[in-house]
Amino acid sequence: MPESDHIYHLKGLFIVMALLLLTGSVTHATAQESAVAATVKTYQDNSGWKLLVNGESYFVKGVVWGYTPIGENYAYNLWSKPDDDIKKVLDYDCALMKAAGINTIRSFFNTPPRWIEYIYTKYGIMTIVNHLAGRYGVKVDGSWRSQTDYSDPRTREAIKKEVLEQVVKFKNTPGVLMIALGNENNYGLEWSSNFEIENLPSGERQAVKAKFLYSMYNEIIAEGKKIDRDRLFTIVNGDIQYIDLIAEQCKEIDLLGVNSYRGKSFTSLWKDTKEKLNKPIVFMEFGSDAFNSKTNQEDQAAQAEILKANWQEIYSKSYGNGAEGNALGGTVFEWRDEWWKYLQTENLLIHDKNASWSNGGYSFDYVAGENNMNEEWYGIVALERPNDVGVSEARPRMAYYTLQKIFQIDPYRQDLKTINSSFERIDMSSLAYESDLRSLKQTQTQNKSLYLAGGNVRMDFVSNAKDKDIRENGKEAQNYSQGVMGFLDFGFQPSSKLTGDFSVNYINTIPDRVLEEFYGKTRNKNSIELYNFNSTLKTDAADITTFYHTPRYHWGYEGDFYGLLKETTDIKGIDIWDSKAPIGVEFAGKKELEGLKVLLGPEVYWGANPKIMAKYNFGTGHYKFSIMHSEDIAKASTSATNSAIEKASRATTFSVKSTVIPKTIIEIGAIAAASEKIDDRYTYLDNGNIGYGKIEFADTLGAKAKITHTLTDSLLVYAGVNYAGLVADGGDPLKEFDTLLPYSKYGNKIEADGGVRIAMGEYYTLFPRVLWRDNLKAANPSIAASTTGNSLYPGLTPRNRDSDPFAVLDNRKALAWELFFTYDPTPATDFYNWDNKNREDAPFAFNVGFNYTDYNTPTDSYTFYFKEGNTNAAFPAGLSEARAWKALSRMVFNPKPWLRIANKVEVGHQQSTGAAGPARTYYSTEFDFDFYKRHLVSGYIKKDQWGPYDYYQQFNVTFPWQYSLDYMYRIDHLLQKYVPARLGKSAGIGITGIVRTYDQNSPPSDYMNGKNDYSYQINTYLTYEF
Amino acid sequence: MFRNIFIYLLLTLTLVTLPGCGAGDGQISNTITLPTDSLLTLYCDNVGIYPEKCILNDPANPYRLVAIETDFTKKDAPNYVFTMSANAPSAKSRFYLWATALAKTPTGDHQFQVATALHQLYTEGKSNTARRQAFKAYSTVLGNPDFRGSSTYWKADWLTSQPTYAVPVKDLTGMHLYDPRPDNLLTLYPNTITEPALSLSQSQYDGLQKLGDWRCAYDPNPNPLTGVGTLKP
Repeated sequence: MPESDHIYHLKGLFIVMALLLLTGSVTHATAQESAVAATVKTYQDNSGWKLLVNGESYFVKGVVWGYTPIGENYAYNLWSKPDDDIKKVLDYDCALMKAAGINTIRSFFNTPPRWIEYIYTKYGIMTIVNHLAGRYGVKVDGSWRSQTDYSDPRTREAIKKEVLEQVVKFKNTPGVLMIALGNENNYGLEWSSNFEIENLPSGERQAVKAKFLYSMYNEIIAEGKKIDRDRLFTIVNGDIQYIDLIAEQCKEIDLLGVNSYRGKSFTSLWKDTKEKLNKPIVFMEFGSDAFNSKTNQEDQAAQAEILKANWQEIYSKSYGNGAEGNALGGTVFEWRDEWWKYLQTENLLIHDKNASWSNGGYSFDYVAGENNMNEEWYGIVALERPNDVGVSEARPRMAYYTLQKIFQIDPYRQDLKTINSSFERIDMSSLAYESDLRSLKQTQTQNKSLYLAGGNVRMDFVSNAKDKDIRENGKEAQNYSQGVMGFLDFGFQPSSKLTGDFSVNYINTIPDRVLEEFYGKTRNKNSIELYNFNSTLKTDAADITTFYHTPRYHWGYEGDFYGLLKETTDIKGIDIWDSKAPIGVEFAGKKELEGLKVLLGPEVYWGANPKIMAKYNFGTGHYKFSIMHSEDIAKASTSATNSAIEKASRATTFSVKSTVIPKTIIEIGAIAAASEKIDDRYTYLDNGNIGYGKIEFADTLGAKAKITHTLTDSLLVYAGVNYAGLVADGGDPLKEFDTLLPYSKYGNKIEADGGVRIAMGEYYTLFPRVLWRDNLKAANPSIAASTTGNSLYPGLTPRNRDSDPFAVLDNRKALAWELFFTYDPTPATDFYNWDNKNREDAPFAFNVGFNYTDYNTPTDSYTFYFKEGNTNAAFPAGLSEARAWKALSRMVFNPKPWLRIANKVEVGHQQSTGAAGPARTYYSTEFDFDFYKRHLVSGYIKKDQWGPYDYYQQFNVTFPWQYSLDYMYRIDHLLQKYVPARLGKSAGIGITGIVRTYDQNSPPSDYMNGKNDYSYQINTYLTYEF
Repeated sequence: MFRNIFIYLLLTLTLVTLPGCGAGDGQISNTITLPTDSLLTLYCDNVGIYPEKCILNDPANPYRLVAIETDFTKKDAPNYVFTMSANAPSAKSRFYLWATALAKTPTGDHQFQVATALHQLYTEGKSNTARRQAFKAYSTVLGNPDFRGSSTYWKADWLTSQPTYAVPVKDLTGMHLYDPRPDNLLTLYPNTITEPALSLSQSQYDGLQKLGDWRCAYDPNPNPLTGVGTLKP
């Protein structure tokens, strides 16, 4: 190389280095600048509107951002996690977003300012801070109101105060682009107002309410601008509904924030907004789901195509392109999928494919009369399981890469023709091809006839002994055993209409866990069985679900007022009996059959006879009707537990739920049940004489009603009455808020109940409730029969449900009251949700409850299933009169990010649920400690309480002391929460110790007439999921 | 609006009026007259034969709603089925009693007692219906695997500490078919032979033949403890 060339190259190198240094200094300077809050303005001239950040044009290329891992729901709060964890999540997501050219996220007000600043200074991404302004309820004067009344001065004041406090908080936060209020609040104007408003026709009524909403927005924004003049203020409106009202009432907004789902085009939205409001538009939500309801498959291409069309239109409507010029950009809904959206608290581990609503704008999967918007599939990145550092991975969809291409286009440096040609150059075929390739490589589970989805291995090593045997034989008396079992989980999708999954279990050896009931104990060694199965076939007329040992939910919230369909969700509890319930098929009608559900099978819920059930819901607006029939096809041939098999029966119910009276819900229902028992005979005691009765038609009928009224925002009252003829048996009543009131499914009663839920201050709730019940026919006493010559005095025995048409059991006469006090400073994690123990996020939350029930009459005889004889049998006597009580408290502590404690304490004086005998006074505590999400200690201590399974209370078998202590080291705590809820704990190595002491109330085979004081069991185990 | 009000009214009316229905008083009866005749009327073809339970609906059955204690451990109870059986005034009463016990608690013992009561009815009135039903009942004792292994209780006075002794019902069934005279019952195989010894032999032979039809064999040599022979498969 000639010297001149060297010099030339050295010069070139110098220039490059100088440029790099310069770039570095400029970057540094930018970072310095960005350390202060930006000034954000709108700008308008004849070419349209622009957003200026620190004087520079800024086009919003955004996404709606949130972070909710699989297994969590709306209650999950990233910001409550340790800083290191938050940083890992932000670094992961923001790096991906930055790589796509995303410059804005829309996030909620609970985002701490320092993290907004972090996102901005490190990644240059600005945040639209969004306050929901009462969209999903509001706290007023310390009490929570789930329906926000924007006409109420106190409510308006409360929202205003909260928003303005936040405006102050974010005032000097670098990275805040604008403050946005609400989230389609115009779709939620559902508060019960005064009669003057409620009596208006529906459209007018809503418009009157909307006026209150927009005037409130305006008041808040006007005040907000006084606090922070450098930020923009807007609202998040559902499309441009009430645009005239917005123009009239909401003059202070700087721009219009809109959530719009109109399909590929926003059609006249631009023109209408310009003409009626003349403000620029930022889309706060728009886009498409990535799931095709027609093919029942992920459809990345359809989502990407719609987003591309949307963005091309937004670009074309931006400043200087000759059209309305009122587009400032937008935030795509959304960054990641949210697996909790469907059902919200259930199926959190499942990426549900159920579409929740219908939208004809999305022609790729729209079918008239069917839903096509899949709420859990809106992410431009798919939500995946956590990586090695605990961050839920994001799998970019085709939409992500499409946006990456689009965001390279600068709308302010290209004319419309160039913009359009840039869009045309985005090769969607190529992106689709790459997307398909990624899908094939990464998931390998889509579109497969059959695939292996995972599995589990469990090993137990158990030792146990009786104290007596140890004393007599020393260590030789110790029993040792081991168990090995495994699961293989499969999925299948032989066609787009049929999907499903199932698991197969293999048992190699069975441990001798004598102090426990456990899955597999009745199986043979080296045996294989189908553990569960679930499939859904989507047809034009109905979705057909086949289920075998998978959780099923009740229909209590969809018209089953009498609770005929019982819930079966405790699969772990069913497993210990080696039962395969629930088993059946469900047809859920669509189109013309919408509202119809048919369910049939050999055991559609735990303990059910083979039966068929049908339910039809109809009615709209303020009246919802439901008619339902349940028919046992046969009596079950066997029972997995000691619960008696009920005789085959039937029931028909009709109910109506009305909300026509403001702030009031009225439910009325009627039942006709057990008509097969008409003409059956029964006995009773009538003033000392033996009476004989016959079941009449009227004895099969019942009716009940419940009224719930929101008296004030902190006071909710309800009252109910229930009459049920002698054999008018219903189902499981819907028990809410952990009530201990002795509701019963059986007939032969007249019942009244009521309660008042009182919210006291922000976090305290007091809930007194009462129930009174009497029987139409009392229980039969035991009176001996006798024979004198050819005269027989027939006597009486307690009835039982096997031999008699009815019996007085837990439907016995009762007067019960209870009081529950709850402290929960984080209402988002409802303390009475079924999984609150695992989800409660308050530093400390607890409840205390007390129930007192006076049973001043005895019962008839309970029945039980006698396994050896494969038949039902009746206990010889019923329960005697009793005054039962129970006091309990449940506590959850989260004192440190690395420590979680859940504890339950209970003291009670209760009767058995079957065998006659004295009521027991008992004490118990159960606890769970979770350290660093790695070490889990759980256990219980119980004194004089029944054993851990139902049959102990059924047979009134108690132990002086019961101890259990379990320690588990989670092998992979990240995987732990994603495994199916089977057999309890998974993915860990641990040790469990159980000790029981005995007395005369314990099983004779254990107590051995006082020769054996106690037994113990130690179980070391290893489970692993793959 | 009118329709809604109407629906409310209708449902409220139903709610209010229903408690007035049902649970009406039935018949009061502190004394039931037990039958003392020997006429057997069949409420259904297999009345008293497991698994038929029509006896519980038979209006002629005086025991159908009566408290009957069948648990042996409660043998001191006044309504204990064996006590009631001993106090029953007639074979027909005992038939109803044991058939009711059988319908409520199916055991081989109860089925055998039904058969014996029918056998007694035949002995009293020589009713062909009773004889035919007795065969059915005995056949069920031996043919039902759950019944065949049952035992009944036989008073053993010589065992003071154990006043009862279990006797297999299959052996008693064998005895009743072979030679029921120890229980004061007539043979179910009458013949026209006038010579008593020959007549007895013929009846015993017919009984053994019948048991053979049921794939059983009866050894009439008395077991020293039970005093009856042994039925073999």
